[in-house]
Amino acid sequence: MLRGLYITATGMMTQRNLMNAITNNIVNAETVGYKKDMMVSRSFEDMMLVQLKDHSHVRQLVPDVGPLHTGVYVDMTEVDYKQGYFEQTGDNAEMALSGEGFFVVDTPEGERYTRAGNFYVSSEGFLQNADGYYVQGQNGAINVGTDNFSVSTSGDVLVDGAIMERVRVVTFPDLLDMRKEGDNLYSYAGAGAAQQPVGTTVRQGYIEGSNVDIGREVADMMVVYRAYESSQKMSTMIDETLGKAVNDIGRVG
Amino acid sequence: MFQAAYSAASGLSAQQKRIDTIADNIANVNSAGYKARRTDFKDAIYSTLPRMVQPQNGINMEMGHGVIDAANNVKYIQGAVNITEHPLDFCLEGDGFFAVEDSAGEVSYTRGDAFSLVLEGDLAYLVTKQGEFVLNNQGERVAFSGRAEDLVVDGNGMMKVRVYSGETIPDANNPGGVIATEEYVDIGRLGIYSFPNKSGLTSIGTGRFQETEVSGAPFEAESYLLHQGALENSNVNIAEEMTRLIRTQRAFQISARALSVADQMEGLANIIRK
Repeated sequence: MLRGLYITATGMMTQRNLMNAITNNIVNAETVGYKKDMMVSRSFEDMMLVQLKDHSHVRQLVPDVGPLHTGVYVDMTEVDYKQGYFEQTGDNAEMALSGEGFFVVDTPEGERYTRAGNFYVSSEGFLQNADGYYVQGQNGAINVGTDNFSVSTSGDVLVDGAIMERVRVVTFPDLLDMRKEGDNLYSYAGAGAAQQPVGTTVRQGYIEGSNVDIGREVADMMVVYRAYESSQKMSTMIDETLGKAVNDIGRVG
Repeated sequence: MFQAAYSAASGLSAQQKRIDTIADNIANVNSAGYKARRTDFKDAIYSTLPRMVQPQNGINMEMGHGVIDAANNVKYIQGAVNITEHPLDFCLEGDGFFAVEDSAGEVSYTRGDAFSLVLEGDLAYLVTKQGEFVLNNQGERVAFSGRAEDLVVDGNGMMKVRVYSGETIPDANNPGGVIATEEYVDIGRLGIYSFPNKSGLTSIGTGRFQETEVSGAPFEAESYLLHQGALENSNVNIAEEMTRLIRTQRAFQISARALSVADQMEGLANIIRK
């Protein structure tokens, strides 16, 4: 019975983490290039329960009771890389990616990857992201001079009609190894080098909205809330049963 | 309290800031030369949850901690050109800003305004409604002798003043007589400047912007068309702002809902043992 108390506790802890992930999705429903997080919960490995000190079975020394899960835990966070909607901004420096892949920005911690294309032209004429990191082309930072430039769908940067650079767009062998770092940035923690994505186009003058579906998140939130409530009810019930066992059994009169 | 409550609170405050920006834009829908702003968000830091089974590393266990407002940039999209036919109304189509200097010598930049004239002796100075002097491309105050109607500015900002000379010819319909000849005298070019990073300009109100380190130094703009007798409307697109307002308001509401659900969950935890 004490084991039941611990199992319901793992349920409550897991639901709280799921709630954290859902809330993070909800508040980022208007964040440029945000991709939805999905926390996957899973039950602990089965364990085999056996009867001890039971002498009714003569043949089998330790008779089985059956398998038991000892609760639930957060197995992993999966990022949903589904395309977000496009929002037209008319700003030349802003871009959105249609299809797989990330823009590359140079940060003090090394290269980072982002879907947020709300860039601007810096005072030195370089393309920078909202936090001031340089957006990378094939040959490093992109110097466009002023915001009077155009970008083709393949990512070629044209200044005065001449191609001067190509925006670097990359993807990775295993997107499950991408890690979110905040500030709309991702890092890659897996093996293998960056690759060029196939069929990805760059849209100038657009930004990509978040791919969070608010309705879905609210529904998930309700589910999590009720699951949490059930775990809580179970805790209360087990506690009451334990209370009976401790206080009422054996009471005389 | 638990993380979801703090994340939800960060959502409320970020969405609130965006609603403020939208309200500002909508309020300035009729302000000549006003440029709309847009608030962008970014996700806040992530932390790694402990994984309770093997393998403990190498698996994505990132958990987000809410949202931050990342940028609140002015979008220098062209506003509609509104013809007024008043000779001292100026506006720009394309890139650029007029440079204006206040009495203390402080220079700021504006997308255009209804200018007027101030007389000092024989000279008429071109000034803004706030009394700032409009500068030419040499950084000098624009002045000429003549009337407002005599100032003619072409699309490139070249200024000419109509000068009357010669004898007046008596005319039956006109007591003062009609002027024999008129000619146009060059008085230089209006100073139209642009910046490498216009988003870096500081807005100081009344449609004025100031140069900052982030914006870079002003340079003479090239790709513009100057209109005399016209004003630039605000570039606020009301349909776009309303759409964004509705979206932001929903995001705000649902963040509030998440906060309330988080609170109820805390309440449940609190009554496990009554």
